[in-house]
Amino acid sequence: MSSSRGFVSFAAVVVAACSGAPPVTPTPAPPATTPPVAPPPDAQPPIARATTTPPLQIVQLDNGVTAAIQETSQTHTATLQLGLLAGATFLAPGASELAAQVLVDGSDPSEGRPPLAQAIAQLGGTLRIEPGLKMTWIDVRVPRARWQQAATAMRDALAMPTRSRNQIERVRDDFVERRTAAIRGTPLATMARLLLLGETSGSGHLLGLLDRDPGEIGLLQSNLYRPDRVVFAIEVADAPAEVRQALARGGKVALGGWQPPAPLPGAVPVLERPFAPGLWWSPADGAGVSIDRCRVALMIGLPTFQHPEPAAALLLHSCFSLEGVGGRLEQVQQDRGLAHVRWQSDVVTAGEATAMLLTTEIAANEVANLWRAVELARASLTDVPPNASEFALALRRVPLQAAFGAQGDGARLRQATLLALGGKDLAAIERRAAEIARMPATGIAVPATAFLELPFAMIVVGGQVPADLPQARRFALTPVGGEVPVTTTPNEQAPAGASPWLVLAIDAIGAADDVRRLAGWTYAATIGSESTPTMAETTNWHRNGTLRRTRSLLGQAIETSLVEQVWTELLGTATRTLDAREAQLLRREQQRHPLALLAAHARGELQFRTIARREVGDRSVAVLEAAGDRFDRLRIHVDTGSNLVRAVESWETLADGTVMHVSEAWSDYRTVRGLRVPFHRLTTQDDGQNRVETVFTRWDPVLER
Amino acid sequence: MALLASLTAFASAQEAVDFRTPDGSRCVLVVDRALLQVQWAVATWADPADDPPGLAGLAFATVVSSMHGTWRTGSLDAAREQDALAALDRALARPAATSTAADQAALRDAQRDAEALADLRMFPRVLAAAPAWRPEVRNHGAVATFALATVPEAIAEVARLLVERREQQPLRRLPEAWRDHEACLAATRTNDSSGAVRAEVLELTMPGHPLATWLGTPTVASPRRDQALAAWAATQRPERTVHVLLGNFDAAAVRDALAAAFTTTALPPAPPPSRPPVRPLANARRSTIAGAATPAAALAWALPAGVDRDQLAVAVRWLAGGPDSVLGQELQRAGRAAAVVRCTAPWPPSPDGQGLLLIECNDRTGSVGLADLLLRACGQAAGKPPDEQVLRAVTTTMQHEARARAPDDRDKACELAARILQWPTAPIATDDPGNVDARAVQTLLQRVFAGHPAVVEATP
Repeated sequence: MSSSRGFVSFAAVVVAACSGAPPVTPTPAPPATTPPVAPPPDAQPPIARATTTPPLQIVQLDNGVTAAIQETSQTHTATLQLGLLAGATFLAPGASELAAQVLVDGSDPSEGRPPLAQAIAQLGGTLRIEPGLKMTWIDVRVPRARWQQAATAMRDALAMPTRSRNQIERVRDDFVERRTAAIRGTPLATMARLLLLGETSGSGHLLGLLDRDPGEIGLLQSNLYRPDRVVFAIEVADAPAEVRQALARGGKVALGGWQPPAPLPGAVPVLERPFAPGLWWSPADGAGVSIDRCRVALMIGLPTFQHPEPAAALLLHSCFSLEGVGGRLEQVQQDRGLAHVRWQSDVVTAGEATAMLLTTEIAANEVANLWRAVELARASLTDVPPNASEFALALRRVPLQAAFGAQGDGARLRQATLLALGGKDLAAIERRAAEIARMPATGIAVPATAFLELPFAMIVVGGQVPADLPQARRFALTPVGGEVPVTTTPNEQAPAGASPWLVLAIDAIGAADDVRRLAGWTYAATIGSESTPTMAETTNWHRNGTLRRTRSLLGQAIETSLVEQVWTELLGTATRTLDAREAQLLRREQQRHPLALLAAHARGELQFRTIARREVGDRSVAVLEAAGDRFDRLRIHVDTGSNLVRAVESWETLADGTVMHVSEAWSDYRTVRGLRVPFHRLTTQDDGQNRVETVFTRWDPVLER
Repeated sequence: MALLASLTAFASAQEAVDFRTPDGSRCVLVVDRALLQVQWAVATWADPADDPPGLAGLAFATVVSSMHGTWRTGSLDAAREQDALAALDRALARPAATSTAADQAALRDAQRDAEALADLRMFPRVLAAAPAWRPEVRNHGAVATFALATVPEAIAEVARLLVERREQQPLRRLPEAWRDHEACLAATRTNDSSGAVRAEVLELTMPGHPLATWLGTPTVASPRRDQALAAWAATQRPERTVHVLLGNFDAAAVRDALAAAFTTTALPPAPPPSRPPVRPLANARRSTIAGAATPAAALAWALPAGVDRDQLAVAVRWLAGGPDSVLGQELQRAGRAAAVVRCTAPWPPSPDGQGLLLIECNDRTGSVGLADLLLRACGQAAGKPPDEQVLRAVTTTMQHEARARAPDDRDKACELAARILQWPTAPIATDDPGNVDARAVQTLLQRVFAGHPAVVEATP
């Protein structure tokens, strides 16, 4: 274990990660108003706080993990926390949240490791994921006596992450289902949290999650879940020296001995996900959302510890709203005939970011007026700086507000850790507020920008966007058209194969009975790409796995044969035996033909679930994903106009373990013996550099009786 | 040695300070030095035993209504507002079925007059300025908690406001609070098909219990103001309330501040709650009710006096906490795979566990023989001590659930306040349910099952 010097670089990264949000442009200032002020309280002797907690200790473990150790007076619960520098800005939308979910819900049966969440529950504890823009946090609370077992389980989850595609996909499906329910159940709070994570709609968020491939999750975990990117924080009523000893390489927990294998090849890009302020509106879509009433939330960010003047920002926060029962907002509401609008206050957090959330329900035709009232109230802080009375009231609330983001054990420890890593002190904010308080009323000059630059948004659900509110940005809570992801697992209520798109797609290629009877085909085709000469191919395929293929290239013929367990390739007189992986890849190529997929579905062998309905240029497609383990992962795109399968995407695991993404675009559908068959295929692999064009000159179906 | 002493002092800092203020309010102070805010929860009873007959839920509605201020804070003209609220009460009392257009107009006028004489934001605004944050009312079943967050420096001011809320309560917007609460109760009643069975259990064991009336028949009446004020006074009497303050503060100074604030009350003395006493049954009682949606059986025994809270909680969980419990496994062995069993104790809610141990089992395949099977299984369960390892697993599950119920500091304060109100003589435990001795669980169940049961069978 080394001294605290060693974590300087990590701390710098964390501090940079937790910097403030982009500025928000204020609207023109309103007329000056007289702010309401609550009556000053009676004089009373102040009550002191008990002695403060011992300082949080930060050390670096041998492997580079930063440990933050807080001794506590709470004797029965220990709080443990993994802070992973792998937040929403990394890799791809939804990747970080999904990776964290896989970390806690994935298991490794070969090593006898249960899911982390289950292991913690069996210790009498709870586990919660707190996703942030830059960092993702895993909060664990367990009985004090079992903290070492909990920490060991956390280390094991890091050291033995699941790589099973099936497991990851199951975790993803469960997560999407829960998140969909959360968006529908608490749309305002969930949308506020998503905005803090750089999202702009619930729909986009869900589609982002569904778009994530297990290979991406493995890549993120392998590259970002590394000791030098992890902070382990703990709050327990044990001596810090004992905790350090347990965490050290040779200790009982041995977190310091965790050494992950080399990262997988591949870059993890950093995304631009700026906070998007303003008015966000999800209009009623006829699915149980009122058109006459709207649910409205004001999301007002609280300063992070990196804010240049957090005390001033907190002061102005109170001057603006005073929790919705005072301040400039209430005054402007009264002036604009909105005195009846009553707010409920709450707090939303997203990792390192915290915001106050004021919610209400109003008539749809009042929303525009309310938005203007909000804009005016904000702008009034610039035009008419708060007076001494307003500041006096706001000052009393600074210590209270500074703790909004620390309502529970996990949130408090996170705040303490970030403050310590940033070299900040919560008391300094209060001291600065007190300094401001001592200024004469005429001397108080707090720039309104300290507050106006904090994240701010108004979220509306229900009603319709009026024409005179062009600044309102529409968003969908869930994917358009109610194409909400359903569970992979068929059940009585929601059979996985119930998508109407498959019925239409089968209907588009022929009689359902003919499709069901499709057992194989023979075809002739030419295959070419920019970098290789064209070759001719003839193929006989049967769905029992029998394949006979001949490819002719530059006068030479290559004959491939797959018959039951005999897999050979003949070039001239040389015969080569194919391995199982090669045989599987060859069969998969035929099995993912659109007609093969639809026939398998028609026979009940293959189920799909609806992922989304997308607009691609002037074409609209429904995206469906195959369920079960028949493919690693496979999606089809059904043209919603013609109902034909236009694309098949698949992910194939190659012999060396790498995952290859193959996209096949199908076109030129022609009718052959009553079936509409595509005669053109454009195959694109991974990076788009490798494009192969197949033109079918003949394609004959084999139908079973 | 000095280091050890300081560590010991630090570790014991979370012990609760339990005292009563001069007006009789019970206050429990829990110092946690890590906390940045003070969480303050006030627990009061809100179960049918505290409500006027036929007005179950009124006590809770009054707590919600109390959020709208006091005569001193929020009234623009207290005398005129009193008259307006009285007029509104009279207008509301006219039966809807026979009300004329003139009556409706009079009601609207009365509502408008009452609203015009009050500023509903004033009390929340004064609380916010105290400062206090996010005042709210929570429903814990038989207990309501009023909760807020503040800072140590403002405790005396918040205490003053809480006294004002208690003593000068106009119960503004009571009709709305009553209507909202009734809507919630109606939904519960609709979804809870066990209501009729539970009502019958009460008739067999505690005849006249107000909960039986509520379970049996939906409320149709609306409360009058005098009834609501009486319910408020009865449930908010200081000696029937528990304040929990959880935070980082000087406990001695807080104690002084609360003692100075909570000195006396002008609320009228409350009659004792109308909970019939629980007495062991002199003989077994059985009843069958027909027309149930799902075949079911319920068994109830009177709990002995002085039952230990933790032992009871563990015993209940071990006995019938789901399919892996003793009764759950016995039902599986008997081929009743569709049966769902649960156990509740004490029931109905009452101080210090003065209620019943209630076992309920639904089996959509039929209730024939179900009650006798459960009776036999209960007798066998008490025949030997539970396996220690199984009991530890039960305790661990309870620890997990306790943490899941209280993820943040306010949840902890509210849970603790509600628990202390319901178990006033039990030691205050701020930590996890601990391990319980297997023999103690056995002894407890033996004492319970030594009595005669009340058995109710429900058939379609």
